[in-house]
Amino acid sequence: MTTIGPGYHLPTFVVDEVSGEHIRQVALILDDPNPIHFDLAAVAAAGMGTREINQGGSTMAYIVNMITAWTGSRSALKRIKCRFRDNVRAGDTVTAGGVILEVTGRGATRRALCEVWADRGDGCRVIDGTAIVLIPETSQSA
Amino acid sequence: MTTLVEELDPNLAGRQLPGDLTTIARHQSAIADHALHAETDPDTGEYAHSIWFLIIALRGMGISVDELCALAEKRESDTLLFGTCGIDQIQPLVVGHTYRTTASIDSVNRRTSKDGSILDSLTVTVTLFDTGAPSEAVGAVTSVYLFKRGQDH
Repeated sequence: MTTIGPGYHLPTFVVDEVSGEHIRQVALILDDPNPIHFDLAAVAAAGMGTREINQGGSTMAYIVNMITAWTGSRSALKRIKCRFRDNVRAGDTVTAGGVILEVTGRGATRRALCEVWADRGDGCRVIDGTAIVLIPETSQSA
Repeated sequence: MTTLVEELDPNLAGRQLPGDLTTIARHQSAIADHALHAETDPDTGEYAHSIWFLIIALRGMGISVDELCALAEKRESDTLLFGTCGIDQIQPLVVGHTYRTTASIDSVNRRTSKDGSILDSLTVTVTLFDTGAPSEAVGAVTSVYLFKRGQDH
C-alpha cells in the first residue's frame, strides 16, 4: 500500500516526441484557426521557430494524463489551474510531474493539493500550476 | 514607425458572450485521446478526457477565436497566446453527452512583459451544463487569452 502525503511525487507522464500530426488533429477538434499550430511559415513569421507549436491545452492534458494514471479515474481531478510559460514544439519531449503539497479530508473525500508542472526536454518548465485530486482509496495517508 | 493598439475597451469586462451547445462526439473523443496520448477512460469507459472542458470552453463561447481576436483588435503583427487556464471539474464529462455553455468576459488588462512587449489580455469564464441534467453546472473553465502586440513598420 502506498503512503500518500506532502512531498509525495506523482509518477511522471512522458511524451517522448510531440507529433506535428497530433498537433494538427487537436487544432481540428478545437476548431482553432491559429496558424502557429499547422503552418510553418506562420510559425516563422511570428518569430517562433521552425516547428509547429503544440497547443497549451495539449501540454496541460499531459498533466491530466499523469493524474488519471495515478488515480485510475478521470473523475478524480477536481480542479487544475495552469500557467503557460513557454512553448512546446513538434519533436520536443515533455515530462509531466507533480508533488503533493497538502492532504485534506477522509475516506472517499480525501483529496490532495498538488503542485503540477510540465517540463520540456531541455529542462525548461513550460507549464506550472496546481491541481486538487481525489486520492485513490487504495492508498494510505502519511 | 511604431504604432500601438489603444488599450482594450474596459466595457468589455462583464460582457456576456452567446454561449453554445457542444456534443462530445465519440469519434472526436477517441481522436483526442489518441492525439493527447491518453488511455481510454480507465474507470467507466464513458468519461471524456478532462481537457474536453477546455475544448468545449473554446468551442462554446459562442464566438469564434477570430471573433475573440477581433474584440481584442488583434492585428496581423500580433500573436495570440494562452496565458493561464483553470478547470473546475464538478462532474466528469461524458462521451456522447451534449453540454450547454454560458460565457462571459471577466476582465481586460494590459501589461508590459520583461522583454518590453505589450501584452493585452482577456479573461473569459465558460460554465458547462449537461443538457440531460441542466440545473447544476458540471464545471467551469477560466482562461486568460494574451495578445502580444507586434510592431508595425
